[in-house]
Amino acid sequence: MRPLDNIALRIIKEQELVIGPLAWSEAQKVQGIKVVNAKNGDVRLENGDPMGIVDNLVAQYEKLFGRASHEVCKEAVADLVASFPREEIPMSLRA
Amino acid sequence: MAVRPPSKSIAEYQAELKALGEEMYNHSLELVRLKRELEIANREQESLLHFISHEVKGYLTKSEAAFASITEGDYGHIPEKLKTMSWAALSEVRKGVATVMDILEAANFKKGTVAYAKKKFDLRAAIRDVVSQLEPAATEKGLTIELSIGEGEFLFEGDEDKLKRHVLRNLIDNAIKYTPRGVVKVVLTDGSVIRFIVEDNGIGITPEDMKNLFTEGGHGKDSIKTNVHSTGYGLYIAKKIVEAHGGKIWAKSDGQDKGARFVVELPLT
Repeated sequence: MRPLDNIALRIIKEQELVIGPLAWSEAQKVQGIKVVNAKNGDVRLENGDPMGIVDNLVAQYEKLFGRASHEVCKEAVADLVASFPREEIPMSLRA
Repeated sequence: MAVRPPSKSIAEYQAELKALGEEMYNHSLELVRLKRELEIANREQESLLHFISHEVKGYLTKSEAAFASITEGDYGHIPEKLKTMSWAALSEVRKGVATVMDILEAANFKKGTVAYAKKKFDLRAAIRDVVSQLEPAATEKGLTIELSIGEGEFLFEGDEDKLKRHVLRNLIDNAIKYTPRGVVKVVLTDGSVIRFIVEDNGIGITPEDMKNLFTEGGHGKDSIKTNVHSTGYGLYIAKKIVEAHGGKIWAKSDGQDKGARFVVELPLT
């Protein structure tokens, strides 16, 4: 799994803890996200701009659930992005 | 019928809906955070409990060995008075060890780390054995144990030690402890299932206590007054063991001072 696929998956799973299966259906509305197998946690980002897709995923949750959901996304991946160079971290997840 | 125009615009409804969505999200998020905190607190509590129990068990086991050596004459002849005192101390220390073991065992059940050694054994013999061990305590209180065992074959496949110690012994021992005078009836029957029943005419169980009877630490409100050594884990452990053998356990009582009847049903194996 590529690092940004993994980040998207982590975000969806964290949101799932708060809002349940709705987290997956909202993720599927984001263009470029392909949920191969929700049960096994297989998510792929399928166009040339994976960072933009992750930003759109964060925005999708924020549109419905507000600022708190954005913070949840950031906290969920904080350990993963810690080792990324700043320019490789999607804008919405930068500190 | 006149149709009233909506009092708000679509944009206002949408804003309201969004605010509700955010509120719902924040509540749900708070629950998730509380759950995580609770899980951490539980883990820490479990680990502390384990540590303390192991430490206490270590000290008690050393004391037990010392008193056993004195009592058994390993240090030569001892005066009768000291022997009596040593026996009493040994018996108390053993109760202490049993209490700590109960607490440790309950923690293991909670974590799901209990292993069962299942083999065929004779339930009749097991019950007779437990009754004979507990008869002196009953006699000392002026109680009678009435044992009634059916005609059938009572070979059962299960963990004999756990069933004896935590189910059979626990239920009969409780009946003795919570019955000031009278009779404790112990019955074993078979049919489509094996039934083990312990019935007493003791202090009974109030409807309030009945709710917590088989829960972890589920003391009866006044049970400590009658049995100061009650850990509140005995029936919790008994239930876990019975269920691990595919059985059921329940209790009935008409209330305070109306006695109690505990029934264990085990499947034929």
